[in-house]
Amino acid sequence: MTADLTVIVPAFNEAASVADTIRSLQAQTAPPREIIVVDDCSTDGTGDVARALGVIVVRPPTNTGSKAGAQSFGLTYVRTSLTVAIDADTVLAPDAIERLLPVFDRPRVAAACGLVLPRRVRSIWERGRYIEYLFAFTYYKQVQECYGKPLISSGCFSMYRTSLLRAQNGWSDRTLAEDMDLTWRFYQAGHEVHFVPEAVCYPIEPRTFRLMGTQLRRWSHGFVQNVKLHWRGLLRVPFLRSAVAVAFWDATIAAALYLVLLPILALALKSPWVLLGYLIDAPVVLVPVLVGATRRREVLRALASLPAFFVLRTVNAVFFLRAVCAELVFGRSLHVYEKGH
Amino acid sequence: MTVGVPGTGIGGMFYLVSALAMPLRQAYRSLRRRPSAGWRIVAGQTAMAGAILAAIWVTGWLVGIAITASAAFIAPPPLLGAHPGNVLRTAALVLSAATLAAVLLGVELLRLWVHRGTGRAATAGEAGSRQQIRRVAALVLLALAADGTHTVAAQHTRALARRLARADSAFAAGDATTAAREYAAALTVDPENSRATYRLADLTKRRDPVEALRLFRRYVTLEPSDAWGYMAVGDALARSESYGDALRSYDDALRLAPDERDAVIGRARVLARAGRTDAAVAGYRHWLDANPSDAEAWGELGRQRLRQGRDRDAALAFEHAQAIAPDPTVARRLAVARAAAAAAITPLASGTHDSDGNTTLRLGGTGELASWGPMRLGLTASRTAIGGDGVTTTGRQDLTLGAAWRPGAAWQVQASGGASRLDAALGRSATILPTGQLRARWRVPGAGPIVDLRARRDVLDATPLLAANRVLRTELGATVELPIARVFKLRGIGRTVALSDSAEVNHRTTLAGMLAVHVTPSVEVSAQFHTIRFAHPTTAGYFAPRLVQVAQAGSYLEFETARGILLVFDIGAGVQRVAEQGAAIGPWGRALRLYSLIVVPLAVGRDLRLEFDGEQSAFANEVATPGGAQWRYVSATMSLRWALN
Repeated sequence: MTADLTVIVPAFNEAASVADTIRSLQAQTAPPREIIVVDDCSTDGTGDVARALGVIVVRPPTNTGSKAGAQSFGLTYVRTSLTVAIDADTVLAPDAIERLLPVFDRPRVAAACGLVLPRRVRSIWERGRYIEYLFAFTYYKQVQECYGKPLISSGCFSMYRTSLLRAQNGWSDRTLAEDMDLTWRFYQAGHEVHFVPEAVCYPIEPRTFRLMGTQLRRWSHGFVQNVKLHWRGLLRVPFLRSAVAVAFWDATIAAALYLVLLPILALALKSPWVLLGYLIDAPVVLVPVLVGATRRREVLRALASLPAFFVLRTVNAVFFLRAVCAELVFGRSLHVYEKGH
Repeated sequence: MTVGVPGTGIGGMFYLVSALAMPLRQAYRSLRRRPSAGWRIVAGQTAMAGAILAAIWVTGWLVGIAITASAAFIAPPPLLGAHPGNVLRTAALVLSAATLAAVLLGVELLRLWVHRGTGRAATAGEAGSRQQIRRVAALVLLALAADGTHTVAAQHTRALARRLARADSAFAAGDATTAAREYAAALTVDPENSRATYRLADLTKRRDPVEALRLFRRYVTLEPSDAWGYMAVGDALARSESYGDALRSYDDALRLAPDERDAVIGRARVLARAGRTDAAVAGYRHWLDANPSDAEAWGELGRQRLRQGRDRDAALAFEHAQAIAPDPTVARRLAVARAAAAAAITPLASGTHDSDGNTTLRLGGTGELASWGPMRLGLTASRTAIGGDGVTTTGRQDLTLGAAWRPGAAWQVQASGGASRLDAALGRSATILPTGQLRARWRVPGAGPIVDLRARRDVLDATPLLAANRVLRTELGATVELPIARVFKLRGIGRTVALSDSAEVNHRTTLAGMLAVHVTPSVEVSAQFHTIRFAHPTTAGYFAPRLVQVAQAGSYLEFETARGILLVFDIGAGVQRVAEQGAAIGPWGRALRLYSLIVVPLAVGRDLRLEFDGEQSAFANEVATPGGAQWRYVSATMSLRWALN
């Protein structure tokens, strides 16, 4: 049965991956009425690849400069009550859209997202991200959902109520994390956002440090920019304000302590045991990871990938700390959108 | 996107508390028929939170084991010690929870401040609804915080209660091994259980004093307002002879409990143990002024008075103790103190003999008056017969008035003055010569430096020739002992002696240095080096080489048997070389010496004292005889002190 929804696929030079995305959309148990690929002035034939698969391809007159710009451009072509935004490097589990649809039976629901897992788990960065997602989506996001406030409706795959999306003027490029910006605007407008763990999507994660750095830079600056932009409004949203405050604390104070205090303590106390602090919560991380991996029958993969998580976490802390300093201390806001893969 | 440092930070605590709170929230929403996540998801997340808590505990436990196992290779963290048990500290969890609470509270305060104006615009219904939500949220948070804490605490409490019950039973039954094991096990369940920490330390203090001290210090950290913890630390430090730290710990205890007997008396005991007898006496007296019915304190004061040399005061203290609570041990000490303080007579007999055939025999006695405060007076009279080569004989009579004064435990002053009458010999008529001695000894309390000053004037009488020549020895000497480390002492001796007779005055200078090591409190070994110089040769009858050098290993041993017999031995063995006047120094030769003292208490107040002294060397340091290649000398003295009480 065709769902009354349109999928927007923003794409800039995604010829290598967009076909997989389109095919996974076409293979959905609840296929969308329309698939619109926004070819954001690609130079690698992305539009041709998409067109060849029988989907609608639209092309803005000039490159919009961001994913948000391309998505908002695509939104003008949407004529269904629901809209799905999916990255051009992401494929969906066959029932992903079907799993999300029931959530929108409730009129206050503005957006819903699913579980995200890396499509490829080979390099250290992909493995680190694999563990991070297993941990976050099995534990943090579930708790957020139980309290009715997922921190973010993931930009790589989310479903929106078109009317409410348009009411928010679509996606904004004023921050580098347009998905977070949109999610928080929904909350402030009194709408609901939900997380559906059964709806699974598989993006391609950065496989090298350079690509990972680009993505982390965008995400970290995007988070700080959204906090700066929305902090007053967020104070009105129960649970979310606490979750954001805690996240902000961890991105600043905890990250600084994590990166600086442990080595200093180890030197001051002349005890290498202090450095165990970098790994001491490994069993804590392992519990949700193993729960998530067991459900997916990927326990060995998870165990093999666990060490990479600690590397990624440290890098993550560095980028968030840099972003906080740049955005809040030095006033150097980042606005150039760079793709992370 | 996952913000911050997932897994660590207060984010972990926030989601843990939130997950543990979910059942209550779910119950509330179900009762209110509001949309909710469903019990299956809630149960799953709560179980995951429980598993995370367990993982935290297991991690702490495993890290503790790793630290213990690798303590020999990697120094354990200073704050945890070599056997930290579970390194997960309640304090760390509390700190993390407090940080989280502070952040959340800060957000709420910020919200109230930022939106303080908008609240007035809200309708009454909205305001009421918000208030209700806030109340419920607060209750839920509180309940869940309590629930989370209670869940963990309950598990710990049950395991802990079992361990403690077993440990207490074993402790009460006197089974120290089992009790120690169970208390140690209790500490693995709850590393911050203060009672188990204290008891385990108490049970460990004899077997492993270092570990006991660590545990007592840990107890103080856990119970900083408990004076007994500081006292226990003080006692443990005193056992390891860290008296300064021990006293500081007792000072902490006294700040918390200034009138507590155990603190006051305990501090006095540490002072006594440290050798600070005067301060210990002051401590006991301070306590007894306010608590005169404390028999034990009177008894301990009596012992310290004896160490001070204040025998009469000691006897008075023991009398107080006996009057309050008769005790056979105190009764015995009382008798000893009374005998020591009483008037006494001491007959004595002594004799000397050397390898040249010189012999002396001395008979005499001393009469002492009863002690008067720190002062004691006595009169000594003796007759000495001096013979040599079996033909020449002479004699001397001595009469000396002596006084001993102990102004405090640190000071000892002895003075005596009198005269010696030398018989007519070798054409000289009988002569009376004044003699005397003054000795002052000062010891810095608490095993500190010692200064011993001595001046004396007496007659050399080892041979008939010396006696006939009326050789007088006038000596000034000083001994300084410096503790340079815990068991090492440096001792220096300097003496200058004028040896005068009717024809000349000669001078002898002695310098000596020694390094002494206290192997035990009653055993000392030392390495010594002495140099002795005479100004010029003499014909007065004593050996006056240009230079004598002595290198010797010495040992001093002091024992007391169960019957109270005191045995003292001072043994020296080494080499000696002598340079005659105008000659080069000779070869090294053997030098041996032995001094022993045996005091046998025949009854209370009746002590038999035996002294033996022997030397085998070319030059005798003290007796100054003509000497020889392997000259030998022995002396023996026997005296019996008979108290007249």
